[in-house]
Amino acid sequence: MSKKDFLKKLKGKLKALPSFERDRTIAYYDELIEDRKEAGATEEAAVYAMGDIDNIAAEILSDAKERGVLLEKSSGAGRTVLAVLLGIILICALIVLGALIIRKYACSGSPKIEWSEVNEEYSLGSKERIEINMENCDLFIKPSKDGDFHLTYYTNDDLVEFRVNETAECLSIEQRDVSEVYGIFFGCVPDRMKRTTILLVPEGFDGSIVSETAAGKTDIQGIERVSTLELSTTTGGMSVQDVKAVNASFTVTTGGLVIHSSSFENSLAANGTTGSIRLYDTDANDITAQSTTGAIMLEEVDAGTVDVSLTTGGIDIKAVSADRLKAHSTTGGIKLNMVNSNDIDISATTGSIKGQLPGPMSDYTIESSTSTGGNNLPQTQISGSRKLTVRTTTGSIKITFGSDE
Amino acid sequence: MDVQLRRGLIEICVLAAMLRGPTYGYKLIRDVEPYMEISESTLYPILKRLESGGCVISRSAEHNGRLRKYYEITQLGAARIDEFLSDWQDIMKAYYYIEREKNHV
Repeated sequence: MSKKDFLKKLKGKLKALPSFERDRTIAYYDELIEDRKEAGATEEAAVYAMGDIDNIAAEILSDAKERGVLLEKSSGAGRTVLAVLLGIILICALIVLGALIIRKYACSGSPKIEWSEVNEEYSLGSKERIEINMENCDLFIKPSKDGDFHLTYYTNDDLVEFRVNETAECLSIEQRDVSEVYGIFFGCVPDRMKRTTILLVPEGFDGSIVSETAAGKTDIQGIERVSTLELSTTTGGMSVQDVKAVNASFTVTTGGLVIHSSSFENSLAANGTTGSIRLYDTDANDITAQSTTGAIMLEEVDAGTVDVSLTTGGIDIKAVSADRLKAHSTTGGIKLNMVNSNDIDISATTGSIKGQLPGPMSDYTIESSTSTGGNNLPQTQISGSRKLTVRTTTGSIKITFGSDE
Repeated sequence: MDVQLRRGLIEICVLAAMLRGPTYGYKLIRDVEPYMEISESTLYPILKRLESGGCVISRSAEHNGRLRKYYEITQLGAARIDEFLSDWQDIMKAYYYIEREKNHV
């Protein structure tokens, strides 16, 4: 029997399983057949080695029945179990360590869970809400007010994978009100075990991704192109790597934010409350980075305009090229190195400003001021076409010139 | 062998096979096979159970253009192995006693 026939038959016999679990079973057998083939078996032999389909199905169904996840109307007892489990998740949520990983889905021939298959009775977009009872999980998919999809799920599964339908314009993931119990992006970690949600974005996906995570790390990598990325996480930090988007906004309340090797056609907004923000090897048309405490570092950044602001903590700008660069820190110092820009506006209240700028000093038209600190710049110099404004209230200013362009 | 006992033993064997690092279904079967009879269809519910019990975590990763699921033992899983080994010290004590008495008579 071919693998295709085997999997089709098996799937047919597992109708009583929730579709998510059914797909997972099929994926498991698909993988094991492929692995046997890779080890040298013919497809026929690999399929044969799986054993009798009826036995396999019977075993899986009896196991599912034991766990109370068959698709029959869930019993009162089943619901109690569910409630207890969800309660446990809630408690665990207090000691969380979770992760959201978004990455490009770039494999072929692998098991697929298309949204439209999740529940064939409903077509996404036309129904307000779809409910699927997975093993100890509830998954709701509904279009949001603006017609985009929202995905909210509760789970105690360690790994849940969602694939974004290529036609979906926007995928939004958010956590529900605590009173409604949830497990989204949350880990249950008495033993530091991590829970991971993987969102696989298909190649060519051109929509938007919006997600809000209360706790847990958000990790995004390998997105080829999305129109809008809006991600926020409260604790746990965020890491963005190899991402291409038109507009992106990343918000982290505590924990750091790192964005690297990424490219944003239009705007990039990096917001933090505490914790540092670090951008490197990244380009965008407009970059704004702001934080209350913590440091902000920009390195190897290319942009039309850059606007950095920070209340306490230092700003470090290195190897940045921008038409316009603006940086402000209230109490921390600001360091510039190899900054290539025609309009530089640096200001601090109590911090010092120092650095080295390319080209001779005569390239710049300078305005500088400090009331109590030292200043090695002329207060005004009308000279070259590049504009340099440096102001600090109580800090010192030390800018040298002449590094290579 | 008693079904429950067998199932329990396979579970521990599967966990033990993960001690050297993350591994996948096919390899788990190959590794455990010499010691316990195990097949694709017996492994599946065991992995599910271990995963939902927090003994194992899994993640999918790309392999040769397809997805393969990798399983990793958690601290809870490692504790299960320790528990098993210490339980079996008692069982082995009893075993040797039974064996000794049997040979005596």
